Amino acid sequence: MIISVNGKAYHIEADPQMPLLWAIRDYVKLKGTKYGCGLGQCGACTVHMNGKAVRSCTIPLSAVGQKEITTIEGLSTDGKHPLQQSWQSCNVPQCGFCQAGQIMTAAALLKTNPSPSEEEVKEAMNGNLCRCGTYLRIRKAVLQAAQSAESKSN
Amino acid sequence: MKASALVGGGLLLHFNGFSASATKGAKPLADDVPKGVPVNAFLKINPQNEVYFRVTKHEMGQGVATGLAMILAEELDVDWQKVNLEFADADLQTYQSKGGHGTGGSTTIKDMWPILQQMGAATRNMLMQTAAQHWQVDFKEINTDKGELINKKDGARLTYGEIAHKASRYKAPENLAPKASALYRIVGNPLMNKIIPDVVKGTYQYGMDVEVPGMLYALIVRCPVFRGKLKKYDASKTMAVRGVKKVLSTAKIGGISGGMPYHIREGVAVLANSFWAAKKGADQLIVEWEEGQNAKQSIEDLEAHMHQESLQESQPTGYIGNPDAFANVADINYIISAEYVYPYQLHAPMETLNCTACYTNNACEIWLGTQSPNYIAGEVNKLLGIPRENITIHLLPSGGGFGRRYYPDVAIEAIYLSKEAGGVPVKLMYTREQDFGQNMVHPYSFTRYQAGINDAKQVAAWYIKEMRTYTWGATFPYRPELPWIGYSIPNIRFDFKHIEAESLLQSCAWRAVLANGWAFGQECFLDEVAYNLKKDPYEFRKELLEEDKETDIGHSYKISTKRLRQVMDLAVSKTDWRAQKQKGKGRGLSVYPYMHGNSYCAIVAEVIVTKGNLAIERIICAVDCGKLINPDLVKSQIEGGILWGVSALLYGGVEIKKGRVLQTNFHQNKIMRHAECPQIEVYFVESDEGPYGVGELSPPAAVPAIVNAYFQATGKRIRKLPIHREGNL
Repeated sequence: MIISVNGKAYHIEADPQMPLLWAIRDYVKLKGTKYGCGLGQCGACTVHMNGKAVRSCTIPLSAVGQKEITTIEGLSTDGKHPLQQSWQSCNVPQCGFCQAGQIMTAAALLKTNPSPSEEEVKEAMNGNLCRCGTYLRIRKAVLQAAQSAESKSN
Repeated sequence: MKASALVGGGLLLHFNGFSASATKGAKPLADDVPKGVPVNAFLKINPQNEVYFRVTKHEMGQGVATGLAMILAEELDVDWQKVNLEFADADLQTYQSKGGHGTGGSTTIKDMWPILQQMGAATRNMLMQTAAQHWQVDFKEINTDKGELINKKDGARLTYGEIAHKASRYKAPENLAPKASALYRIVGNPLMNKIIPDVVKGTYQYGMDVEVPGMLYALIVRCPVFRGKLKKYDASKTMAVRGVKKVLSTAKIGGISGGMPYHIREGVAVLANSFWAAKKGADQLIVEWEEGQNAKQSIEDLEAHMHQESLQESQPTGYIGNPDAFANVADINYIISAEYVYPYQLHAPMETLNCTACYTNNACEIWLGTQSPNYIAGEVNKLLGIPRENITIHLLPSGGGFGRRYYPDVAIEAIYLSKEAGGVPVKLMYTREQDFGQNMVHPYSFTRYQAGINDAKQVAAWYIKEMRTYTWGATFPYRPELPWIGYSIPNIRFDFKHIEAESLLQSCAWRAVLANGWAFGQECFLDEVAYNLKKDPYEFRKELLEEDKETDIGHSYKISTKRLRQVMDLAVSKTDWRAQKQKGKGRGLSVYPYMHGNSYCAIVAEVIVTKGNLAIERIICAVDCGKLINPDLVKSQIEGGILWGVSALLYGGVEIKKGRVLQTNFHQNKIMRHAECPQIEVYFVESDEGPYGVGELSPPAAVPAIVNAYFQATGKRIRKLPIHREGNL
């Protein structure tokens, strides 16, 4: 099976029922996408599939086909996506384990809604759990990234 | 796993008292360093003048890697931008006298502060001695400026990196006076946590991300009932799964052991060439268990039993004043009584437990995030017979420790599997279902509180009878002790009963540990007493904290009424405490210290209850944790700790039927989500003391503040967590 991750094609010999998460982690060897629950409950495994945020732990490899997968490692070439920057300026992460998923969910939101309201951010981010309790900072960082992207495009 | 960033030359900082032979895996010294210099690197400075700080404590989300580096960088006087973190391998002997690797009890910053101050100052001094020699001037003519040495006579400059390799010739001076706080450039500033650039790129490595060539993935199907035993298993279907290599019993290492007890459940391990194959194989296993007595028990059975037990006569384990005050003091007019239950709680770290191990010839190498490599080494030696010096532990940060990662069980399991599989490297993982269903938990605590009220409407006696499934026994340094009560009540008595034998799950440390149950009961019951006496809960506490005094509660720190009062007054001052109460709204207060970290916390919660639904609107928190190393990271800990408490209050607890945990994943064991998150404000009491600990400070105080607010809004008392479980309201 061939899947495309961050613009590169990977040939993977594995059970077609295996979730995409394990293909990314154990075959493509990109470890930024995390296992948290295996049931689509926590969002730690969030990646983009054709630009949309999906839970890679519940998508079987067979369902990926030609769709383009983007992981946290492929979000930007230089690590300077507005969210990657606002996550730093807002001191968001504590343990950091859920944050790749948080950022990928937020990045998909900003693509479709470049200047979300606080309520829209809360709603969009509600499927991503953080056990350390960084929600307030995530909220602030998403709004800040939206603002900085907006001011750049103006 | 981590490549050393030191490329040629540079300084490996050496400290007195460490012998070369004791240091395993130390990097070689630069050629020009005389032999016999003690070798151990806490710190490296390369020729490019980049500083590498070795993180010896476990970074599990509390921000200590950055906090510790800030302390050192301040005294060393280097450019903060050039400071890098390096997660060190465990070196149990060398670091023993330098704070050790053990991480817990909110003690890291507090304990490492003087050690790192000395280390930074001594290194700076050694660099200055080197520069004085280099320029052939008196030591007094040398100054430093952000990683550079200056010759005051002619203004010449050298970077630390240029001469660092020569600095190790000089003896590290002792007892240097630390820098005056007025000169701080780093400490006290809200700097960015240094782990974040890697976190946001997905390149920050956790134990879960470790790969060792040739490794197999392992999952263990453990007994669903605590203390149950493996009877037999049939692995024929498992072995037929493509990729499955081996199936092994772990019954031999099952059982309870350790000075801080932990439990390894007996089970059957599936080793495969991928996680997915191991999971499919594990799903196909047919296992029979001897489930034992616990299989007949539910959490309700335990509770009924504890209620009966709480009515039995008992002896005080600690007291202030007269332990028989209720019986003997003539002036007790009436007694108020209530039962509080702080239930089992799951840790649910986002990174489930895991350990990668490789066993060869009576030696092993392991990779994991752990709060106590020392405990691992001791237990692996005891249980598997591997000499301590043959155990190499690669320390990685973790996706949440919360006390659970203090225990060595997962390392023992992984090493055992690697050994039994013939020396194949093994990466042992927990699925989330195993993390919830077959794990250790916060202790269950059932407490009866009584307050004896005298004719003057004062609390003359305070009685706490607690039955709990975990204690630290003789190995815990502070026994016997009272719960952390600082109120001026003349007679306080504590009757503690250890009910480990009755427990349905193995208990262990869980963020803030005993303070969770103690604060919940004490601060809610005190609120009950205030309402009973028709006193405002804030005014009532003020009366009880009026007099400045420090009470010995059997802890190494005394508890201070002044510090309790200060945080309380600060928190209340940020609210409209005296405003008219609005329908459906409530405001609640709680004040509680975290004595292991010697810090104090007060919380006011504001809630709205509509049609029985609780919404937490706003949390105001005041903190006294001494001086702040990094105020923004401290604030972050306080915010996170509050939400930790809120999750326990709203959704926590463990449901048990037939000895089995019913919660399987996050849909059943909920934790708070984004949309429910209240506004949080954090205020600090200005202080030059400390620094003290903050990681476990806010969870205990958060719960009773909200419960008391809920009471004000509804007139209903919550005496058992969680709120969202039938019958607890």
